[in-house]
Amino acid sequence: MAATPFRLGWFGNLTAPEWRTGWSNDALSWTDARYYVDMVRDMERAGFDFMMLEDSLMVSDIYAGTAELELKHAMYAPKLDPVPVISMLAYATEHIGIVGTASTTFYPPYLLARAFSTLDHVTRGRVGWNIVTSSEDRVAQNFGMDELPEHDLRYEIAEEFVEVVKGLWESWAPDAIVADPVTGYYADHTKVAPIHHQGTHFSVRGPLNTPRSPQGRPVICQAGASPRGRDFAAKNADMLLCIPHGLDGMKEYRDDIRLRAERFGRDPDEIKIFFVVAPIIGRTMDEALAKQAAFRADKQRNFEAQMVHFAAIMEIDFSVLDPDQPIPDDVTTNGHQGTFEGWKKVFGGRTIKDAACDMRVASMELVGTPDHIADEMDKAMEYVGGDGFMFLAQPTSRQYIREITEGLCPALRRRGLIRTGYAHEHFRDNLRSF
Amino acid sequence: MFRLGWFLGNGFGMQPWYGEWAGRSMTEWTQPDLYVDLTTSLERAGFDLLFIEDTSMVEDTYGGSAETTLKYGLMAPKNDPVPLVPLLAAATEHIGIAVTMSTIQYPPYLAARSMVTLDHLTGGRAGVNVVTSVTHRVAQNFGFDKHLDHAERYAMAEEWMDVVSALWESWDPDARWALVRRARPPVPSGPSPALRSPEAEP
Repeated sequence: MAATPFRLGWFGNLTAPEWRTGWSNDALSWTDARYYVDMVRDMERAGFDFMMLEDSLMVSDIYAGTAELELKHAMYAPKLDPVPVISMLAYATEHIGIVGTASTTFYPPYLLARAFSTLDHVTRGRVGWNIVTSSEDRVAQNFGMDELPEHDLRYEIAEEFVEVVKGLWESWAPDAIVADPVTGYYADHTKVAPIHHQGTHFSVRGPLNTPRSPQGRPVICQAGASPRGRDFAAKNADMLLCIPHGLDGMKEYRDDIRLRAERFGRDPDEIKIFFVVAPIIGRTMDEALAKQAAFRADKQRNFEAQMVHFAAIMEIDFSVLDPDQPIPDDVTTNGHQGTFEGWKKVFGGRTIKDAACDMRVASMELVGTPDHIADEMDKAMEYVGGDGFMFLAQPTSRQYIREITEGLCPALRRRGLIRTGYAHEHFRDNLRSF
Repeated sequence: MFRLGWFLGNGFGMQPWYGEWAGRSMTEWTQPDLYVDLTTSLERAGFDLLFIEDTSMVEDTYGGSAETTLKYGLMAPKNDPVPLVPLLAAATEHIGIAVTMSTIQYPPYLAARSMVTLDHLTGGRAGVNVVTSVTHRVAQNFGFDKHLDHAERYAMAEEWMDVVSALWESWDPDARWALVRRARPPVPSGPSPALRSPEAEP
């Protein structure tokens, strides 16, 4: 059967890479970002569509009311600002897309529009913006608010925010720059117009002072999982990242987003959906299974770290819940609603500790040799319909990245499942090239 | 003995784009290459620093139109200088690189984080030129009807600087966690992060 090619991305963090195992010399030096420069070069060589940089703006101290464990395990913090790192990654590569996360709840829209327009220039049309609304009160408290606006209001703000930045990106007509030494006109002022936005949440005059960027606007990435988030993504996004559970969950999610996109009058093929996976790869199946067992044992030992992660993004202090009981029904979050509902479903009636130790942040379990995993990914894409996978490892390591880029990717390429080159200059065009 | 710095007067913006020595500025100024060349030349010559100006507006006071501004490329168009800094640093080893940030454009947490990141990426060679912005047109891009008066701008900048400095000190040199005083940025608070009218109180 002829394989249908799909796309690869990486869900990256600008946090400390693996520093406990001994296979790493980056524990202190990662903050100069050269680790990530090496990483993005590996990915471009392996045929990835993009590397994404997640972001958050806090040091969480929800778990047991202290930042001790958050920092002990170097989970969400410390972390670098993705904006200046993106230009470093771009300068080290030629084709791969680079997606940076920035929050609509905390960036002034003009600042964001200008930063990402500049990045689109500097990357020569290879930048993407991952839109998040943020999900933690601890972030809000770094930006002058007592608590986060509630979930649906955040999306309402995000809608207006996106309208403003799109307006700013459009404020220079494609032919505004004439650069004619004879008339002495660099830019034609009749083609650069203020946007005069006066809305409920923002007031921005414009025009942008950065000229129209190579892609016109960056590739828009989003991760909506709740109904409100799905609509937002279906309306605005060029690509989505998501973690629905299992093949049926993946198919349901993709079909649903495509249907919603059609309702917004869009061609659903304009939206590429990436499912998060975290393969465990061995030279033999036995080696892979042994790695999986070791990974689970590590989770058992570091049960507390898993709980800190949950606590940080849900802002629920899991230290006060009994780990030997299921999650009580009355526990809710104003944070990642889609994710939380997903967890409750996966946890079922199991105790918090049991379920958490088994949990991986992935749509499907992939354990085996590169060839075995390549076959599984092939079958999954055939069932789901497309469009790609993104890898997540927290923390990353040079060793794990190479297992993917030098082990799994060649197996995928031998099957004709991933790209062999980049047909276009710009990220969006490459995303849509098949 | 004294020191030398270079004031990159039009920031990461358009440089002279016509005439004998314009090179490819006309089409290539949005690329970092010209500034990379400049910085390596300055380092070779023994400069202490490169200083990058910045503004965020298309000015239209003169004749009530942006025509003159855009005809000559005066202050606009211009790119965001922050992403330029690590590229200049990667091409050099010693020279300091200072970038301009405005207290009315940057929420202090974003500014503090951005500058700390630049200091990491440059291996300790980043500097910041703190400005309060001068025109209504900038203020109007950031949620104000018109710019704050001079004294108020500076009062805001003082608090902004206090907050940013405290955030920089919030990690001990030996990375033990230290509590910062609860820092409120000098922007009106409310359900939205938008900077609203200057009359509203934080």
